[in-house]
Amino acid sequence: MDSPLVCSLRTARRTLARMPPLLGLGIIVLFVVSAFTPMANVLAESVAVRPEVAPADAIVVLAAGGASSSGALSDNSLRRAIYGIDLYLKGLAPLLVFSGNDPDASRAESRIRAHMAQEFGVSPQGVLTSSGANTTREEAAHVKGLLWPRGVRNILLVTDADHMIRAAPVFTHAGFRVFAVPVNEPEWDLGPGDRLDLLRGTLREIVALLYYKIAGYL
Amino acid sequence: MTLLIVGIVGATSLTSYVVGSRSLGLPTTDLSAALKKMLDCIGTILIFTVLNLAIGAAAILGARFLIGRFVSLYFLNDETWVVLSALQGLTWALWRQAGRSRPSISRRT
Repeated sequence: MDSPLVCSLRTARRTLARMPPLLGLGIIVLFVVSAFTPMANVLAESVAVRPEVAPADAIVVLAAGGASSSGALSDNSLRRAIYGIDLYLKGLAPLLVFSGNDPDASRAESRIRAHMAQEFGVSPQGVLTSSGANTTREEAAHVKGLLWPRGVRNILLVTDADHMIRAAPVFTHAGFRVFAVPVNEPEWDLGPGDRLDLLRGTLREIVALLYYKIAGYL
Repeated sequence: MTLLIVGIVGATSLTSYVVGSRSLGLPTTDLSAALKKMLDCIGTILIFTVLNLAIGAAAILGARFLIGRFVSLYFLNDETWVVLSALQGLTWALWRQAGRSRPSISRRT
């Protein structure tokens, strides 16, 4: 006759042994639902920050993946920069701020973007750069240090739709009035792979937002 | 796109079922056991993925705290984690399944 401890250990072991197939079934169901139904779109839409284009004191374009050693911006960085330049040229703000992670001179994302803005006709006096921040929270602190002394309080914040979920509250927490201008909006007409990418991006930002809240950054 | 994927995968699944059952003579009753083993492998892969990512996140946050240098959590946003976890999970699950399917010594004697 086995002792109660041995019995409960045996039960726990049997339960653990049954877990992987159940988890496997769960992940396959989740995969099918995510890839072949609009669930990812619904989730992205429900947490998305609504775009609000309005005249502001400055346009703040957040960093995105830096630049390569040859000085080429990442796709996201380029898209955000172009969007910011477009807003500036439409006269929505007198200042255009490029944030960037600049590990060295050849990969100075913020300066490459500022140079590009001037090539597009933005006046050098209208462009500011902010570098050295590693996280969205640090970006908010650096941009605040740059803009606060100039009396800038209202900003048009430019970043990707999924990143905006976290970026908008972080900049609001830093003291800015934020007009969110995501460079893309959750699309409904997506293929299965794109839906999985959308779900991954949205979940990543939700987890990051939770981490920011737990860490007391928000 | 969705219809194309579902259609082709459905067709190859059906073809492989017919080839397996008719040409190769595989017993169709073994299919549910095979599916269960497949689910076991997928579940084990998930466990290894979560484990690796959790340890990775702890290591990154620990490194930030201990060495005082910034290490990005975006390192976790890489497909390599899933691929390597899949290899670990598959190996582990197949190892476990091999152990289960082998007759025990007491049964053999």
